[in-house]
Amino acid sequence: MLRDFSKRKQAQFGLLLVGLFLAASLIGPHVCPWQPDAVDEAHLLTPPGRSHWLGTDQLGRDILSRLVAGARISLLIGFVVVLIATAVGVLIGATAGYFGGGVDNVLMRLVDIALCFPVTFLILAVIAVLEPSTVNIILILGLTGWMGQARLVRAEVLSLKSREFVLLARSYGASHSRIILRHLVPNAAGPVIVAAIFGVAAAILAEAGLSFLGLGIQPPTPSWGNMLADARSTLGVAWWQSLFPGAAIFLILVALNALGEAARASLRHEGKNYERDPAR
Amino acid sequence: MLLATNRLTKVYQVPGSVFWQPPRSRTALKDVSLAVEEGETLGIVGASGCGKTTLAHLLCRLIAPTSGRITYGLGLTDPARDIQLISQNPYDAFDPFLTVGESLEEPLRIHGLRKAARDRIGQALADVRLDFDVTAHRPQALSGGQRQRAALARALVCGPKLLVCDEPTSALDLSVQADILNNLAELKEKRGVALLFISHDLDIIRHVSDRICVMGSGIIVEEGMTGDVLARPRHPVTRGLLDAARRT
Amino acid sequence: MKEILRVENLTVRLPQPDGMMTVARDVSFSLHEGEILCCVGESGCGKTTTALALTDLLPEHSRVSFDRLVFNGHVAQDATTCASWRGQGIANIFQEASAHLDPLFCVGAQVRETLITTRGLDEEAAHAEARRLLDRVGLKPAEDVERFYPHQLSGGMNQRVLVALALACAPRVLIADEPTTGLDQALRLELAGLIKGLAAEKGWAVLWITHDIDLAEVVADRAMVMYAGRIVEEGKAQDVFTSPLHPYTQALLACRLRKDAAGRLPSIYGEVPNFRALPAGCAFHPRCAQRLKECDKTIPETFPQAGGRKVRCYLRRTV
Repeated sequence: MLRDFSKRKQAQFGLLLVGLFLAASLIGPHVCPWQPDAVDEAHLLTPPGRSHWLGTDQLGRDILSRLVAGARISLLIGFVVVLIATAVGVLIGATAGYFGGGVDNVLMRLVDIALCFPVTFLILAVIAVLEPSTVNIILILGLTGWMGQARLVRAEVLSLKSREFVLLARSYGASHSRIILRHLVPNAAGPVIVAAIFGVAAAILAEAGLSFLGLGIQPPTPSWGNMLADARSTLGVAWWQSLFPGAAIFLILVALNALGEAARASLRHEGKNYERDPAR
Repeated sequence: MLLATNRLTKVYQVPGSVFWQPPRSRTALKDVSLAVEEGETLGIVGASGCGKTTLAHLLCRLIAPTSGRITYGLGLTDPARDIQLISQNPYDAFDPFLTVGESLEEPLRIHGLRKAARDRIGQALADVRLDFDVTAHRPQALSGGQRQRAALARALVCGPKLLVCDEPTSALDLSVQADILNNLAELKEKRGVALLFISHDLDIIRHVSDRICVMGSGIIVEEGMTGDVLARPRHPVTRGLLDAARRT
Repeated sequence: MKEILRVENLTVRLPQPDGMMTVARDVSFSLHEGEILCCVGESGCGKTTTALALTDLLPEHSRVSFDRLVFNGHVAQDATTCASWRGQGIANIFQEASAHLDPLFCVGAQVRETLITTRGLDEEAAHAEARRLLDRVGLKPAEDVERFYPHQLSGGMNQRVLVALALACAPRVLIADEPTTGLDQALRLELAGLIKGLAAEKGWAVLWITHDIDLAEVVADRAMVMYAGRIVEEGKAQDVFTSPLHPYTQALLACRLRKDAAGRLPSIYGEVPNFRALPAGCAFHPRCAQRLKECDKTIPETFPQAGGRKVRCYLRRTV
């Protein structure tokens, strides 16, 4: 299946873009001539030019280096949030699906309750009490984003647990944990991975939104979201200040969605080209 | 005596179709008492829905009986290790995520027999006449017959005393069926393992079993030595099965 | 007997994840009015694929080619002609009834739908005819049964519904692909008897596919045996089953469990070859106890024998 995935144009496109962003976020900060919060008083709000490739904002900070630093933050948050959400979701979903009965009922009601929480207000409340650090944001987004995975995994496990090989494993003495971890979870991985890829996109967008509203990453630490917030006041006069962070968000989302779609299509063996006849 | 059941009964509660309706009960098995002796083949024959698979699942402790009990003889110290199940569908018998070797090793890991794993697996595969290099393949690479033999090998790695075979050849082609039946006969001789062989096919049961139990609608209607029961059937269910087999 | 369907050199290639795979090669046979032709073979020999090709029911991207394909005097140009024969002269019965009945509609509605689509009956006539058909296949009382949904009926009853659907098309050819597999022995014989009786009554030409040789012996007038995508033997059923000419047929028949079988059962050495790695020459030769020198060089053609029999084997080469 991996071979099929890597042959798809969508996957190649997505991997390329995400790879570029990853490379930029890792190497960028070391390569960029300017520090993200360094102020160049000689060049306030200058358009893209030789000294500042993507221009500067109203405080004289280099957009490119801030963009690259923001990439680091966004990608970090995106991946870690999904890691937490998937881990929690898989645990809860697999347990509910496998044990069924009362356990299933209780856990699924937990999911229902969690789904009722309005995320934005929860974040507002938490921000009011705790400081909006990166860690806190990751925790909140992660702990409010596991429900989809839980339901997905539960559905997969429900259909898997009556498969013959699971029955046979139980008959030769496999423990519950062995069956869940060794047999059910790996076989349920497909849809979970697809959902996770889309989840990264959603997490990045969520963080950008929060930061834009001032509830997420706080300045001076750059995040694509708060760069857009800074650009609000200069919308008419400095196109470069809002275009580049906006484009970055747009591109990473497009790339991740392409990856997710390709993964989903690979999973379902869709649209194959069969004209290659094996040499006989 | 390896294993004996005493009035084994299984009643399923089926929830009513709408939530305020009380659940209905379905009796899959009622008062089934049988015994399996060391090294013998006990055949269980009956039409579909007569409770044969429920019996197999009860004996392998996949489900719990509603009433009645299973007694294990001195030969069966650890039922999870000493009783092994061979199921009907070889195409689903293996975890598609693992290699055949990993699947064969799993019972050994569970029962703490990993030390001699390679030898045990090698011997089991030789007993079912599969090459050792199937261990490197995924189950999808094997044919139905090969998969069923691999499933047999997996059942053998822990050195069981009893094999519960639930329609092991129903999903296989004619020529492969003969192979598997021959294999089981060889294993009986070589390893002295007892078989509880379940099938709806009277000809197969006649060929493999020393004693048979005829089942119908969840109860044992007739039992005895294979030759006796099939030559002089007393119960209408037995006669019905014989008639159907005779007509083809 | 009048020839209704003629197939000459049908070849079918199916799409697989790693490219096209040829599943049936150079299949030639004909169906005659009132005659049941049984296609016998083990799993993966290509019999179902052949049956599906006749009414263009293969998965998308499949490739079908043939020299000639004639039904009731109409010569097929390509696969789309076959599609037009569906329900209009050729009816299909498949193996798993539950997979081929719509769970959302009661069985009466499904029979009526077939009647309205294939024979253009109006609602009222369809109601009456549907009841008559359900009754004819043994689902009595029809007024009650027709209101049931497939999941409320047993496997055997659902299979009878499939027969009723076939009847509804008023076909001239019936293609039955393992219609009795999965049913109990007794039910199997009843259903087979029903289909055979209907075929005789309506003068259908039947292509009956099965891997159950005992059943084939009971129902077939003519028989053909398939191995690795090719027909290896064909002839009158009695001839093929009592004095088989092809080594594969002989070996297969020997594998059957006889009532007095004791000790070691005969089986066929080796495995059915993978379609992607067929042996050179005759596909059966690695497993054949009677092979000759030329068997691994070229694929044997079909050699005609006495009594209208045909065998694809160098042992029976007619000079």
